[in-house]
Amino acid sequence: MKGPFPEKIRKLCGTRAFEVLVFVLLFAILLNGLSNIFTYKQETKVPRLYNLYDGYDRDTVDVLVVGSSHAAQVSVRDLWSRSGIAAYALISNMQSADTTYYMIREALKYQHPSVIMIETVMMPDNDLHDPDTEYEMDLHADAYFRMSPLYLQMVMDQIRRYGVDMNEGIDLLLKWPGMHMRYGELTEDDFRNTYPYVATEIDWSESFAEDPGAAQMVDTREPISVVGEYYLDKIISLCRKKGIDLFFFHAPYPTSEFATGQQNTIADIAAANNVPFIEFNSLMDETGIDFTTDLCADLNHLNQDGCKKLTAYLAEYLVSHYILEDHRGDARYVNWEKDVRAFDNDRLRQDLNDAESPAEWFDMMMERCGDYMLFLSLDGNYQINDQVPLASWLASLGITQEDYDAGGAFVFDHGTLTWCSGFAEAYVHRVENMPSDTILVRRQNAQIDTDRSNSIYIGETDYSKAINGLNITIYDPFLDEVVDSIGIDVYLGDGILRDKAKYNVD
Amino acid sequence: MLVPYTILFLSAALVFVLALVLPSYFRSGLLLLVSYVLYFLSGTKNWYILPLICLIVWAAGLLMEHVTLETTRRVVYLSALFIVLLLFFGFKFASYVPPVAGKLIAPLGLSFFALEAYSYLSDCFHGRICAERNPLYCFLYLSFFPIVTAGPIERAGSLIPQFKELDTMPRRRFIDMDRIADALILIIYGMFVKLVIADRLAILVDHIYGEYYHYGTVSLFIGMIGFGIQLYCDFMGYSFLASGLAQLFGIRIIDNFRAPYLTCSVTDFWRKWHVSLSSWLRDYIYIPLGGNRKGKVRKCLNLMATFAVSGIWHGTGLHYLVWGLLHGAGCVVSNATLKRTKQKLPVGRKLLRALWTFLVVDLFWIFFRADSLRIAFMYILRLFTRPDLWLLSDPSNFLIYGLDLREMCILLIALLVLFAVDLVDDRTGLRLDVWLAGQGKHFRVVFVLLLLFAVILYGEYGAASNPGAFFYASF
Repeated sequence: MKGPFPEKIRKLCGTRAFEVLVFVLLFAILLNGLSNIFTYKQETKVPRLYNLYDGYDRDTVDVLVVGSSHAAQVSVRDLWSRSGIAAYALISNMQSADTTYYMIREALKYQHPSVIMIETVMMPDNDLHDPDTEYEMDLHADAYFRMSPLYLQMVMDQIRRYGVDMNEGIDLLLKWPGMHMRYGELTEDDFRNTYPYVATEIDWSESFAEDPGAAQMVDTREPISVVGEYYLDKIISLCRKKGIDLFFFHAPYPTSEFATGQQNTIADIAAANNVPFIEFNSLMDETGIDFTTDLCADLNHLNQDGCKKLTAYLAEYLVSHYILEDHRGDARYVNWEKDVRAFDNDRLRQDLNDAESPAEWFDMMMERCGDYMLFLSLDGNYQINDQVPLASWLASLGITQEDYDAGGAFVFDHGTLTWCSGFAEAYVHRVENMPSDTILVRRQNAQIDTDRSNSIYIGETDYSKAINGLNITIYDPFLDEVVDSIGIDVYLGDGILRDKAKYNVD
Repeated sequence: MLVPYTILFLSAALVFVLALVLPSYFRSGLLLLVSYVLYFLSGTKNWYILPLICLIVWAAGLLMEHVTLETTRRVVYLSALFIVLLLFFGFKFASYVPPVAGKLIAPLGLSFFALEAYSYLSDCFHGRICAERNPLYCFLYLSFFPIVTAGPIERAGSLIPQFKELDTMPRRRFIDMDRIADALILIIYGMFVKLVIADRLAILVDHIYGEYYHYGTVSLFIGMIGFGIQLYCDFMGYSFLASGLAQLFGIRIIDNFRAPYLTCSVTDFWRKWHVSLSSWLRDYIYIPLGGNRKGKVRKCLNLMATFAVSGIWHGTGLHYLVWGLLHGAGCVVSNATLKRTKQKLPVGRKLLRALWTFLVVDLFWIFFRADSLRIAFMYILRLFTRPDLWLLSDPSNFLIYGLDLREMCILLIALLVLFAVDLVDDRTGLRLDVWLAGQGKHFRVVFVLLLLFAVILYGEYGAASNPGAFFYASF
């Protein structure tokens, strides 16, 4: 024996077969990694499968909400705020019955919820709608699944169901033909989940229906498709097998008699299987939903007020019918806290964005500055325009005239001044204990008037806007996100800048 | 290609496993079966022409073997040849005959298996090979799935003995890992040049050729060069794929391309470009016409005639004929002006000559790519009379042909790989898989992995990219 390995093993390692084996192993590992990167991730501001893959801790979700856009009317954030229910919604546009089934199975690989609630508006399914559109929607939802035997099974079902031709079917099965062209559009989020929490929910409409009409409530039964019934049965069996409490609900909107009849059929199937079914069109008094005030202009979805009422009812229902732990304060459930915070930030961002003057913006910011970090810099000839009262606005933050005259940069941590550059002509200050590298810089050789002398770097982005004036960035370290970042360039007046200042050379 | 790549590769894998499991004498039969299944699945019109020609050729071969009277032998030979050529020209020129124009569509690969049929009949008649008694091998020779649609144009004397050997090959040899792994390297490289280079270049070339009438010298020059490389990568990619698939089953087929753009004359170019067609034309047209044995003038005429046949074989348009004649003239000129020497040319001189040959061949390709002779002349006229060299001052001017900066970068890097592989072939005479064998296991694994991932990530395939068929499959 020569060396640490026996001769036989060394001989085996030298064979072409071993080389091929190593090649195949490397190929499989790299392909799997790349496949995860290239899989479509969905928008960051809707509940997405990707967050279950990489974001939420395993086995933290207690309630899974599944369905089409109608299911998105249930606010999982409100369920958390009201009752500490750790719910997660898996929504896709016009989600068909088979997609709902496979979404649930995919989610169950990562989570073991106690309750699954399914919105049933799309359950009647396929040939009752436009098959082409439905196929498009199915493909859209498929793109977010990672490659797995379950994905292959789902696609095979769709190939059979829609009679997909051979070429297209193979493209779907392999997945790569549909996603490899993403090499030109990959973002940081594809490599690292930049929003491991929901961020904020689907943007509910604030519109109103002008002539909403009413749901046509009947006692008749209308048929649902064979496919719909088949997957409904499969969902019921799956939940029974896994010991998960299942219930169906039909969110309110002015349904036709036929649609109500189909929901009645679903209610019968549910009853036959001891699965609760809530027809919200029959609970208008109990929920307080009124189509004249709570329905969107599209006559199909509830508006913001309607969604709140629907969610409030469901929160009560969940608490009274199931044993669900209140997880508020539990460190494992920080993503739900982040979701609430993200929504809060989003609202503040919208308000700040709507501010009509710097004074109004400062007033709003002052009310909330105790919740955030503030990074300020006074740059260039910021004192040259007396018409822009920078000093008085900053005084409300506690910046004295002396500090104002000194210029430079300031850091406020939840309302408290923690660092200022003073008279330093040049500095590089790194803010400690921040989720992202936060660095405030003043360059020594910058040409006053024309060169950008100060920068506020968070991560790799420079948030300073004004060249001569004030830059302020509101940053939330809890979510590692910038809530707002503005500049007031005194050379350009007292308007709020959200893009880099540009001087008209002419 | 016969069918989508995935179907093709899955079929090949399945047949390989079956060939391994079944008794060895079933292998050729299995290959014949899968060849016809794939041919039928391709949806080609008039698919029955292939088995019909196989039957005629096999029967004529046997008859020629059994008949002792020379005149009868000749009648059998010429009759079979006549039928094959009638079918070939009938389908080729059907579009010029009003009653059948647009109705009589040539079956896939007719140009290729017709030439193979011709060579089989000729070789049998002239006694270069014995007629094959077993129809299985004769049918398989003409229908073998890796080569049936776009070649290489094989000879019965090379292929049939290999099929017979395959049917007696012990399992241990059949699963020779060296051969199988090398076959996969050929397939991967073929897919790389086809999907990453040829199909990407096709976007640029189609764009320029489609709107040649408003472009000047620089753009048209890029289009000209682009098509030269596109065609090379397209056809060479197919040939590597065919070689790899055949080699998977232990069948060695001719190397159809040997770094042709690094040659120093048009004559040399044809020794390394579409080698199977060049050698077919040499053996069945040029030499029977007298080759170089009947004086210099006759040699020139023979060359011109041979290339005229080559042009007609490629297509029925006048532009194909002109393209063939230009190459004939190119060979005549290069034979007359360049002395053949055994001494190696200095690198600089060789480089210059190779560049010149590359440009001349690319210029000729304009006739090949253009939709008509008139368009080819218009293209060339604009190429030489609309100078717009100022475009060279700003690289962003080159991003208007349908490829953005990222696509251009991918293309340029891929072209560097192609150039390096061709350079290796030119310097060492070794095909990629053979050269890699001498570079160490680690390099080979990394190199092939990179090629494979380049194909998966940057290949033009899937619904979004509308991948093109192989160019030569249309002839």
